[in-house]
Amino acid sequence: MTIVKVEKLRKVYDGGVVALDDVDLTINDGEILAGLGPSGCGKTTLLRLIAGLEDATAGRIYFDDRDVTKLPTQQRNTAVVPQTWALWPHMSVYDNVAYGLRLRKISREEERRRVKEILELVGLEGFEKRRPYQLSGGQQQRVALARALVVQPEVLLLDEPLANLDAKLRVELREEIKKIAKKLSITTIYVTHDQEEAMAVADRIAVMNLGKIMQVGTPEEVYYKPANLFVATFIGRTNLLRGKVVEKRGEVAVVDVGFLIEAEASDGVKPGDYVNVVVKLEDIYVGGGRLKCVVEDVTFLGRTYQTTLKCGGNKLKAEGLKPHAAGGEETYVEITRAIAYK
Amino acid sequence: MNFIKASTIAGYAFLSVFLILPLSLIFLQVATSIREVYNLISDPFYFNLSPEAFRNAFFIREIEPPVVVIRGPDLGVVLNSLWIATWVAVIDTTLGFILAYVLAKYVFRGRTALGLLATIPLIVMPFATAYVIRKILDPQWGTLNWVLHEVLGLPFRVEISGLAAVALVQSLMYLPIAYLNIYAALTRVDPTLEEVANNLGADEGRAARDILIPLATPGVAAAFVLVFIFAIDDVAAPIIFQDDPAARKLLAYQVYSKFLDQVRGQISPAAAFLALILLTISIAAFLSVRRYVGLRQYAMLIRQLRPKSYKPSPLGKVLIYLLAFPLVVAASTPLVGAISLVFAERWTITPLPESITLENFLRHVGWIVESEVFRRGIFNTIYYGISATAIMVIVGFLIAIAAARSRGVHIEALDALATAPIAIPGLVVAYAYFLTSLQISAAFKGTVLGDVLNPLQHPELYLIVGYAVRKLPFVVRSMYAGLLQIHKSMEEVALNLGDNYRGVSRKILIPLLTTNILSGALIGFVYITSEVSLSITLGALKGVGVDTAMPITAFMKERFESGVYGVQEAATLGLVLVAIQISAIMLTTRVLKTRYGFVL
Repeated sequence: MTIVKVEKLRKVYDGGVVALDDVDLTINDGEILAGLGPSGCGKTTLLRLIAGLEDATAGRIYFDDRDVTKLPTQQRNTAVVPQTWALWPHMSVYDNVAYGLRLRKISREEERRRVKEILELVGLEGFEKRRPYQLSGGQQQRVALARALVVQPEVLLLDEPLANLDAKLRVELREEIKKIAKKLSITTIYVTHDQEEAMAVADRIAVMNLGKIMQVGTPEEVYYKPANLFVATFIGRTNLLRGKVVEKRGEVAVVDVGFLIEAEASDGVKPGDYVNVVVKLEDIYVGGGRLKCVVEDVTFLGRTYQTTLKCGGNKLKAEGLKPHAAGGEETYVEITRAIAYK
Repeated sequence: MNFIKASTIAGYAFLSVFLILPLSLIFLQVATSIREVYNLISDPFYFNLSPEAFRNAFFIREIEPPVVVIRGPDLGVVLNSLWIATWVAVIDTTLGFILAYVLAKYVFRGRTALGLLATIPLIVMPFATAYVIRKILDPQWGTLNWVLHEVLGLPFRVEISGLAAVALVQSLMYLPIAYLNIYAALTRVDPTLEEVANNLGADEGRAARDILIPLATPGVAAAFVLVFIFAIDDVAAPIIFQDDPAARKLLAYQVYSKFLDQVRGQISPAAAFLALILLTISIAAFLSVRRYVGLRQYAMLIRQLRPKSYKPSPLGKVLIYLLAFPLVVAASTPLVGAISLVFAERWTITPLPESITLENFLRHVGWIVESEVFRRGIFNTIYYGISATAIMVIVGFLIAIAAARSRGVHIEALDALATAPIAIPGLVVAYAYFLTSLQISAAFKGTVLGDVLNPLQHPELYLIVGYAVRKLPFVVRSMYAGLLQIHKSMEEVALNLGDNYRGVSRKILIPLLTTNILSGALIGFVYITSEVSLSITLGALKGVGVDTAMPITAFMKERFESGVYGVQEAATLGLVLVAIQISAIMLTTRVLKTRYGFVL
């Protein structure tokens, strides 16, 4: 039962690379927070600082009201599951899982009980004597998770834990991880670059870029109400248009991008500004509307169809459940939602 | 027949003719003289476990001032070799581990300097290192006693001689080999494995004990065995200390000495038998860690990870500043001493070399340059180095491609055979070549071919092939590692477009392997130029004349044995040798635009 709070957390590596730039963040008790962002955005560094595997250049880290910034990793009672899982190849599954318990000097009986319990929880009973290399990728991932959970950490830190698995297994395991973390009510930080994974697992998502937190919110908030251009273009599949604001009606800006488009105006957008307009693929309806476009191409993606359009000098992509026009045909489209950023 | 099969056959053919066949003649000679061999074993000169063996190992000579004499037990030739090699391997693995651990795991002031200092003894000046230590240990005039008795005023002197002196020299000589291999083993362990243990509550010591050391153990074991093999094969240290009869009671020295007897016409099965024991011990040691020193294992060395590092604890600081630094300084001292010999007037009855001046240096270099015989020696070293390297590159490529691109028991065997020369003592190869060459030239006696193949008239041919066989593993390893980096699909695409494998090798593989070929060739060349065993045996068969076949290392041995001024000449020749090696490294670095380090 722990609230994790970081204040003005900063990490500068040798050579002056700023990996984390004055980050403020609170992770609530029992919450699963996903750190989401592109490679090099600082999400792994944030996790390593919270784990105590790196020293912060500046800022503080609190577990509830305890300042743990200077505490070595051994004393933080966190548990890390690294991307590579880092299973010790010279130890059996049992020894891997029991390692943290042995360091805590609990009785052999208690150790056996807890290892058995946790292996049951992750569905690996009967695998105690195997070596890591005798397991499949999914099983290895479960061992890594069991090893972390068995010590009953205050904070569980998962660093792209499913990155080395195939797509189908990833979906299965992310649901399982969520179920287990919720069942045990562990405050969890789950770092990933896969937005679908973040949405599926997290209570809240912290979107990061260039060492800063761009937005923290529920999956719906970051998806539907992106706080800035980076979040808007990073989350979901989007079209990006550049144009000039010709009129502003309340919260709506009319932007000339080659054709006129009505967009939700983000903070500070005013008439005369040149702005970026973000339109999600699913917010373009093909086969009806006021904007005349030419269909360049239609691609079947399995569940949906992607249509490439040429509209007023702009190339747009739309996604829908049905193909409303064929390549080369003229069609009308409706842009149902767009957001303008300065 | 496809190219891979042809390469496999070519690899087998080369190693069979130039390695297996000559070695099998040693077996044959021992088998045909089994009774004499039995008599030999029962001689206490070879095996001696009586209390007498330990009588002079350690004692105090009651004179004024008293002398603490450390000579080591004399257990007979075979057991002496075993205990010295084991001792050197234990000491070097222990100290090498401490040094490697400190450099791999701790962040501290002077880390780069320590790392650099630790590799200085890799610069090899054969015989010179041992000679300088002999001067330092000299019971009457040596530096050690001068410091202990004159400077510190201790009421006793120390005499480290005989087998103990050989053990000390070898410990200093092979420390970098242990250190570099253990360092590679420690840095190969993924740092995340330790981090997870730390995160679960293990401190540095516990994580090292539970995770790092068990995972690095194969590499440490390999380092132990490599040092053991190098030490048991070493003949330079016993030769430098040969004034003391105990220092001669080692397998390597005995094989060498029996080799010389054989050249003089004294045929005895003892040489073959001793060579066989030396070979058996080395091969047995090698087989115990073969899994970890084979080509396939070596490929993993490419991926060096940034190790998990700690700020040193108080104990760590003690290890760094009171052990690691003094250790690397001690290990570098013989080399510094050897170089100072080139600048010194002489080093005879003084604790340090006398009159170190540039003038002396120029005079000594002048001696070398003006001497036709020495110039011939320098030419021989370069000629042998280039010729043997060319053979190694061609054969190495064929074996590497066979090992990297096919599977099966026969490939495993080829891999083992190509790596085995690491463990085959040079003196054994020399002796085997001598036996074989005598047989072959006898078969063609009276013909031109008989003269050409006569080792006493033309040892160059055998030297070049012998060098190539001995150092082949280093070249094959380099190329094999490179081939693993080239995805097979690159060859498949070319084959699919209609090329054959020979064309693919020429147009795709060799251009992509340039770096590995050149670096393998460089490592091979450098090791050949400083090779001792073949050089002082086969190399000396033609004697010292203007048409001598002796390379620099053979001249160094001859000069160190010859007396006062010979020492300066030997040291200067050593410096020329180092200059040749550094020039080769710089040339390759320039071509490849990259830096090189040497790891076994």
